[in-house]
Amino acid sequence: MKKYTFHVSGTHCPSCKILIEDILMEQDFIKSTKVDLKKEIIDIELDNEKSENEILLVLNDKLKSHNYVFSNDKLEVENKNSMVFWKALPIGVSFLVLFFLLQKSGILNFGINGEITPITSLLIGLVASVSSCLAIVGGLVLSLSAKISQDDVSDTKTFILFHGGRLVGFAVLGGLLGLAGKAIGINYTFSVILGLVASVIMIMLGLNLIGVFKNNKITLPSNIFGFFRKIEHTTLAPILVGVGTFFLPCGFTQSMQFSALSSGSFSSGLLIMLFFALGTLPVLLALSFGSASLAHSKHAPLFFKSAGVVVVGLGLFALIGGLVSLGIINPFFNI
Amino acid sequence: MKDSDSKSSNKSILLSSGFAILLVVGAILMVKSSEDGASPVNNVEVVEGVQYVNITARGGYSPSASEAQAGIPTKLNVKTDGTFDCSSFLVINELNYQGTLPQTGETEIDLGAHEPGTTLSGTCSMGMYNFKINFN
Repeated sequence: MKKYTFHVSGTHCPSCKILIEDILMEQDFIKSTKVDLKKEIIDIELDNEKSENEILLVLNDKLKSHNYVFSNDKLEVENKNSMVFWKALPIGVSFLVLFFLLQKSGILNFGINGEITPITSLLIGLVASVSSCLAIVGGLVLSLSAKISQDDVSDTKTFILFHGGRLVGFAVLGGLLGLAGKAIGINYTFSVILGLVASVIMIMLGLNLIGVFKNNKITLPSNIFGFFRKIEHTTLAPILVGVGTFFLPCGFTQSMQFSALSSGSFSSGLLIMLFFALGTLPVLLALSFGSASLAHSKHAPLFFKSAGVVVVGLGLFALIGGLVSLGIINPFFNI
Repeated sequence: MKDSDSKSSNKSILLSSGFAILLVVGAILMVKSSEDGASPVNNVEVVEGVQYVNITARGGYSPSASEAQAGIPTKLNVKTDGTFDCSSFLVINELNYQGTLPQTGETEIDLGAHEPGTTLSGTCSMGMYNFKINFN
């Protein structure tokens, strides 16, 4: 009986440990395996006289299809990691530039005149979901979805709670705005500060997805991510975040809220905001479930890092915008 | 085999980086040319001693820079035309003004009189559209 320790890379989720151990235990000559996800190492006991390199060859052959790589030294693993990052960076940057060009093109600025009906609300929602609001609402959905899929929480349930909470929240709050009429308005400073909080969360999650915290061993944020891991399992948290998106600063949402305020009745306010939220749904659903399916594919490491780059970019955009609109910094860009 | 793997992956990194750089450069050139092409518009008029600065809000504020006279009462006239984007929520920090503009219509905002050499700037609620008025 001999004991070996190898480095393993590609373990992006808690279930990877179980998968690797299951597959290896099916091999007759392997007596015991133990994967340590944190250190990215695997301990193997076997009663077979083979050289280390031969064993590595067998291991890599068995698990190649799952995109796990075993190696003798860690250095190679980190090279691989930075390699993925250099692949992800241009993908992320290209996405950000295309997003910027779409805003700049003016395609999204066609005017919609006349009365606000559920149909026009739906159309405005569709436009909003690819507009600059994507920076904050879409960026938040992408970062949370990718993180949830990475942590391997039952993502479908969490996504349904979030999007359901968002739809119901928009409908009810829209109805309340219609009922209240001009008497109240949503506090602008509150909404901008909420936006700043969201953009900071996005930047943190983005850096986490890229793997900055893991490689540089920054220990401080681990508490925050521990807290995040705890609440993402609850039922209430995704619903509350979904409802909370109502208050995020987004020009389109704000102007629909203004329409709901002016509509004069609970039912018309409800319809305006519900159909607006329905209009934004396709893009947001695609972001959630697209993240989940890519996160469980063999391109997972590349996806997480690309998504991280996109999320950090959108987060910075939203953060700078929020600071400009509060008058804290001077505007230095104009889309 | 490992060598060919890393070679092809280097190649794809190079290709996609090239593509990304091309996009960035293209975007910068496009933005530059659109800014150069903006001809100065006469959007300031004085009617009965009151100076009106006319600005259109839709997908941003245009013109993004206006030249106005200092020392006379000034009003900002913001025109909206089916505007639903960020520019429909106007913020002028210096005047502590925040407000939703009507989807279509004109909104008059009293700016008061300004000292020569000062600049007044406005932005939308998310901060990515802005405009300024220079007083001389």
